Amino acid sequence: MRPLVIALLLGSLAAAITLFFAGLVVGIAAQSGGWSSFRVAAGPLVLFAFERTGATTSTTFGAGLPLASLAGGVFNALGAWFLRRRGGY
Amino acid sequence: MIEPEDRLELAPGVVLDGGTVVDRVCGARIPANETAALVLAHANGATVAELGELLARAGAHDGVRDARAFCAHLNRLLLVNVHVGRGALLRRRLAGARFGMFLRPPLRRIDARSTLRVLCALVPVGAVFALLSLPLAILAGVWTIPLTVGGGIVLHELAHAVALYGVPRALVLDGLRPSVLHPQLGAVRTIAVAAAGPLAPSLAALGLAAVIPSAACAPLAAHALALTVLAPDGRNACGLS
Repeated sequence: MRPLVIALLLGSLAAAITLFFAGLVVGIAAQSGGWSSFRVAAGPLVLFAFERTGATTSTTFGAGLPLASLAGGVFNALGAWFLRRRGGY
Repeated sequence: MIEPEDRLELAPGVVLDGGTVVDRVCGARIPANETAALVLAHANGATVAELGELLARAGAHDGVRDARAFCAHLNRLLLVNVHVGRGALLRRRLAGARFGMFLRPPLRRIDARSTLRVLCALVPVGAVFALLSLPLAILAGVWTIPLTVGGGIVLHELAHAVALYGVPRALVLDGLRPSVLHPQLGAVRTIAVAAAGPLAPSLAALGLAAVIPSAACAPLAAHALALTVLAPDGRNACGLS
């Protein structure tokens, strides 16, 4: 059980950092590229929103980010479970 | 890729104790047969050709061929370092490339007790990766990308080495792929050591992004992916290797 819990925690952390930086890089590209406002969301869960109001821009991370991170952790735990079964660890 | 003119020496942390090879880093004692003991006893800067002559005198049919094969085997076990001249390494690689072969240099084990020594060994690896990322930097127009690509690799391995403080350790360079060799550790220390590598550059990226939000932080942040089971560090942390 312990490898799966570690995999869940580390996977969530990895997904959180990766998604945060993906959002940051897209935000920088949107700002310098003159993109108009947009948001990345799954229904009401906003992952990332970019807003342009006049000369100012803002990048916001929504409640979808922690949930997506948790989903990443679950996928990592599933991967660990598969490796554990296959390798007999 | 070992040739007769290459020089052989015992890897740091490896000693010959009578007929036994002692690896102080892994905490292993490996009994050596007569041939192994003969080669290892003379592996103090002797060339492969000289060891071949030694084996021939001891009754080997083709001493140099046996010495080459034996040195390659001992090098794969990280018991000996094979010193190849820089020019010779490049010449052999180019010769291999002409026939469509990718020749790998011998593994190199470096004493990692001093953090400075680890840093010095990692800087050339980081520099090569920085150079390789130059086209990407030119395409993206972000000139600091090579710095974070190279720096990230150095920081990653350095963090592993620092997390192993107080434990016998050695840095292993498999071409451009660095890794840290250490004895088996307890569960908590294993997680800490495995996670320290990917976490150090990722946290550095978070700190850097707070000061200078730039796309150049992305290569540092990408090290976080090594925390997953897709990478050896993630698997080590979960006890899956």
